[in-house]
Amino acid sequence: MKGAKISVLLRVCIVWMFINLSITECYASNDNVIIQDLFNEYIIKEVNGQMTQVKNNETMVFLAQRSADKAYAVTSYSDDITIDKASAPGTKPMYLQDDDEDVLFSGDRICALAINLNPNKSVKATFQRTYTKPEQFCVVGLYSTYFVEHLRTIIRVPSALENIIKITPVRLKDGMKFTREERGNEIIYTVEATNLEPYKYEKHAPGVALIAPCLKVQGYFKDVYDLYHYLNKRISYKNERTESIDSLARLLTNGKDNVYDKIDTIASWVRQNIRYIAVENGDYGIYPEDATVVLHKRYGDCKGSAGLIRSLLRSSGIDGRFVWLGTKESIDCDWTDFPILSSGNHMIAAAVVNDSIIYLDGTMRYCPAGYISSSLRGAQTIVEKNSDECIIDHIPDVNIDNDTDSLFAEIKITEDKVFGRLYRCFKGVMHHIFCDAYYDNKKSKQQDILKTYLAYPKNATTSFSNIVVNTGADNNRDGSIVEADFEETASISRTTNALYVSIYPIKEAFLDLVDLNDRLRGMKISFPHRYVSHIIINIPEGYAVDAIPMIKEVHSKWFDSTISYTYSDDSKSIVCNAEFRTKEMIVNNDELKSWNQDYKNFMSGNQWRLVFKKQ
Amino acid sequence: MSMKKLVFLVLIGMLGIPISYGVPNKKFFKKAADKVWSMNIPEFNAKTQIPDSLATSSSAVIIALYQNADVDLIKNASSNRTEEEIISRVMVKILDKSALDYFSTFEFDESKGKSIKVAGLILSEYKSAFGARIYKSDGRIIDVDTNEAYPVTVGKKKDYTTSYKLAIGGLEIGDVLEYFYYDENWVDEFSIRPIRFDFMKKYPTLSYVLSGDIHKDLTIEYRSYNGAPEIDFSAPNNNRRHFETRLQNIPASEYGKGLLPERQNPFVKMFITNFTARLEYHPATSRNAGVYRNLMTGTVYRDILTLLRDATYESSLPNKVLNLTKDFVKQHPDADATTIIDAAWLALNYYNYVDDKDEEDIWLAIMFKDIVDKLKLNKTASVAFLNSRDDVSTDQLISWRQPDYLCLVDDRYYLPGIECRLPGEIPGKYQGEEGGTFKGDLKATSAMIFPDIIKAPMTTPKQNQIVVNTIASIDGLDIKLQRNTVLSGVEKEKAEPAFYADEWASDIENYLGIPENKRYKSKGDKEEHKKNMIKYLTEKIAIGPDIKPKVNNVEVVSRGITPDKPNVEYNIDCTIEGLISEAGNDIVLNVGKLFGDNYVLTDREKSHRENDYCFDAPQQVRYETTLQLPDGYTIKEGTLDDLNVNVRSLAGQYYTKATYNEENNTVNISVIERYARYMISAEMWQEVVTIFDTAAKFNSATLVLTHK
Repeated sequence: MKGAKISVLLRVCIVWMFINLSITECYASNDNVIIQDLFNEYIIKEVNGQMTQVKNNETMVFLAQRSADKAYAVTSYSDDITIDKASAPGTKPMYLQDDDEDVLFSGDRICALAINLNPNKSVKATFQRTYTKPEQFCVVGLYSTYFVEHLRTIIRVPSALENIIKITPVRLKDGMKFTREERGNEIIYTVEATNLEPYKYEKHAPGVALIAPCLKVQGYFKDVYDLYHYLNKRISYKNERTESIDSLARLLTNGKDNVYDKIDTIASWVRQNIRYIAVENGDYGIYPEDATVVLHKRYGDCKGSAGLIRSLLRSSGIDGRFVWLGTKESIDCDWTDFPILSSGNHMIAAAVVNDSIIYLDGTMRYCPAGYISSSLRGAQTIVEKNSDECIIDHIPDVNIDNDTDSLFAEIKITEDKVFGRLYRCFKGVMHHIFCDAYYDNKKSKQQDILKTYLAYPKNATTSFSNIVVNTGADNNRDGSIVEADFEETASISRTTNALYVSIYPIKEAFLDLVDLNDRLRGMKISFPHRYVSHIIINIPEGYAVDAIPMIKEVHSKWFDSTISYTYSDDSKSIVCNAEFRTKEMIVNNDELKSWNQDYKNFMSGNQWRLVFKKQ
Repeated sequence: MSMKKLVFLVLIGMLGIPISYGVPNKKFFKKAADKVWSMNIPEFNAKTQIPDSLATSSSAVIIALYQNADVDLIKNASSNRTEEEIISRVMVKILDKSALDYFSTFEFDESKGKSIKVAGLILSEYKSAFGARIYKSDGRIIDVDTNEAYPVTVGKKKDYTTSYKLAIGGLEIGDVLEYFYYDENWVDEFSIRPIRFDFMKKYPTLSYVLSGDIHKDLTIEYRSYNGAPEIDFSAPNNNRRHFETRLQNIPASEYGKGLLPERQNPFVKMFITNFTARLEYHPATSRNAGVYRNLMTGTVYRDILTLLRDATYESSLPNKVLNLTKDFVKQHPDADATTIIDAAWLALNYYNYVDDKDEEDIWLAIMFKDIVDKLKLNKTASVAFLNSRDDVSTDQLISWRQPDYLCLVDDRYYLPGIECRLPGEIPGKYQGEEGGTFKGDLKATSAMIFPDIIKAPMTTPKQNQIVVNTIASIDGLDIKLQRNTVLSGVEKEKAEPAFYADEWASDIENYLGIPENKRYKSKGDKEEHKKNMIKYLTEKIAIGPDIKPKVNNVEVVSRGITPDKPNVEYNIDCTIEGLISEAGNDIVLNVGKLFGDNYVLTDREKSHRENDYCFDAPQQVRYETTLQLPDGYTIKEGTLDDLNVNVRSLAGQYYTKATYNEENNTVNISVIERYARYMISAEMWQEVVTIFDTAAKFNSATLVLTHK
């Protein structure tokens, strides 16, 4: 979902996990190459009871099992993680910049060794790195994009930090062994594992950060409040109120007495006028740019837009705050579970009114007033209070009814076509997705986009006219509507004495069957949503109803769907009511077969046809 | 120095070495900005009124576009240098969000320069600058600070900057953005790369100014292609020749299906040659200083002739090919001359691949001519030149560098490549194209010889077809398919991504009878390639975005590379879900989806086309499907009526026929989609639409089955 333009706040600490996957997954696309031995050692250095740096030694022993091949050993580095050594026989390291697609500039870099492998001859690659900012050493991934025969990861903690550093294994797989051993002046934490399946790209699979085993390293921050001090200290409050901000705030709130109107207006203005462009190199990964600068530039990342909303609120006499949180797509824990930098990846603003906290995400361009995007719902937040104190809160969940895609149509049938007028209304996340698709395209292509939304599934037999669209994007409305006259022939199958009509009442469920061949991971439903349709089908002249589909209900772990057909009161038409509603968002790997069955069951009901017999 | 070695040297040099890391070169940026912003070009007026028709229908309007090329020649005792200054300046009105996003960020080249060093000598340097400013509707002008650009670097310690990324601060819908790229390059003892001016624009363009000043001692050879405006040079003044052209109101154009950009999009191509440069090849017949517009093709042909006369090579390939061909002849004593020459051609391409030679087409053509001569089979071999429709036609060449080279043996065309193609087969986009060949012993005389004009033969739809035979059966709500697919002629090109070069080499080894112990040891992973092949061939039969076949088995019968196996042929067994729906006591099968995923034209595509529509070659697809009905079911009366379609147009035909065989309880469906011409003129676009539309609609065709 492009709408969730999440700036990767605090990205550096978890960079190893993401870099290793994103860069190497294309390389590790076959199973000819494996890692026989993957060894990682992290040595925590200490001075006067404080972590000062972390040394990392990594070796990977690659093997081409069947035929000559190329392996890519890749590691990440940045301004805060240095590469001290990178070597493998017959190759020289390549040092490259590695920016995400959604980030203009991050400063993230990779060091890669391209290794030519002869069949059945092992080759060892070695990296040595130093974390110069130890607070960024907080997660160690226990996986690779290659199959790993043997994995061994060691974290060496000086005895002086024994009661400070806490190593927690998370999601260890069966057979993974985690041990703690005191040896000399060190505490040694070890994970050993054998035969680990690779983490490769799989369509609809949850991100590795949510499912891969890892070790979490706590201790740099005493607790979440200590972490807050660290984050808050890095914010420059110097230019949070300037004349340009004050005058804009006056302009926006002029004539508005209601505090909620003011809040909505300010948040909406920022969403509409501040382009999302992320610059996250170095400290920009952590602290927001000055609100005045963001306003002047008219662009910023999540921190920039949050800072501007906060400043505009404050200029308007409303208690604006910064909020740190982790989005559900990428973060697997609460701040209080693990008070470490990698427990968050996003910043928004909040308005505190009479002790209630109103959360405001500046990156959701078409976010309706008061709307909370699905990726934020339920997330634990650190809400700024003052330089010493913060509030730990949770973003409230939102009823899925707010994310409804609805269709209303009244259709008429002749022997060769179905026609009528249809209305499609998008709310919540569906509104955001629709507006993004509509406005991201050149004007010359926008009509095609509308037709795509009106005609799902896409086929060649549908034509539209009198299309009217009202996105409400300019005034932050809570939904958008597209309506059109339509005419199409594909829904009708004719025989000598009967017409078979397909209504396809659930036009778009954003779901798919999963190919179970070689599937290693489960599936994640992209976002929670609901689809409802109400379709009135006029019985064609000269025909009588021969068969209408039975009520079809599918109640699965992941969605509920109901499709029903009933006669209208005057018996001149049939009314189809359908609803589809997502539930659990994650399908585990061992549940995929059930998922496919449930999905097919739903689809079969969606495809049922009405039969009209010639009189 | 031979031409070949020189070409090699140039290629090595072109890799380029960035000089340094850091922030943009302030001094150079200032120089560029001072120069560009001080240019008084009347078209660059931010207050230009945008016509209402454009303002409402366009996301952005280019108010003015200026492209200028100044090329100088510096000759002295220590250098023979061509210096080039290229300016590209754009003023654009931002009208909506999509344009705002599009113009929000820029990436520009490193400013401190990249150099090309050979044997310790710096032979080239390249510097680039960028600048931008915003015109607000209230009259303010905001200069964009390029020092805010972020360096994209390589090297352990960010040793080298390769480019910069810059976000345009303060830009809003309704603003006018003006930006420029400014490049300074020089090359010593080489010529600069050709300059190209394109007239196809993403956004409507109110004014386009292109101009330049070229040193009078340089050779300027240029041509306007595809209706691009003609450019005139002035007489030399202060050692410079000046050109300038002004255009107004260029509409926006979009790339789309069935286009040939080099044959349809207007552009001007300009070769600017330092004919005294000593580190590159110049045919003795090439032109000295001067302006040469729309060169007579004969002039370029003369250069090609000179090139072929000058060409010498040192390569082990010809002898290896001759030895292998002799072995082939021993194994096939009855082989005729064409079969032997075909074998030699396969051997040449084979060794070029397995020995990792990677020779260019011209060298393979020259070597093959020599090989054929040495085989003494009473056949006439000659090197020929030809272009595909992805390039300019050979009657519009302005340089010997433009055409592709091949070998012609009598009237048989040998085009290099590792593809699903037999020796002598001509790729679709070369068919029907004209080129030339020089016959005889070119080195025997220095006299001018005119090339024989050749025309690559065109094939028919029947020679370029996909034939799909399918036995289908219904199992519950699934359909099981046993499908045999045979691709011939040009249509084989569609299967090429499924195969990999080592399989190609293996087929040739089998055909040429290369002993096991001398065969190429494949570096690739066969199992992995098989997975990719299955995936690709499966996708080829995947039907619609929501329906994916479950593949039970894929078997490749042949890859269409060697004369004994001329076609690509494969079998697939698969199961498809989701095509059957229930309807009371009957079932409805969306049978149309068994006949390809036919392209659905948008309304916009249907209603408007400016350029001719081009296929690779005349072609057809033929489906023969036998559907076994489930026990206890028969077809519903009248259900076959809509499955019989026959639409003919000047572009081709879409024909379907469905019959019920009561005895076997089967439905037989034949589908033929045929395009008889490789090019359909834009005026005849609706003739193509008719066929495309019919084919796309047939994807929705259904069959109703009922209990007996």
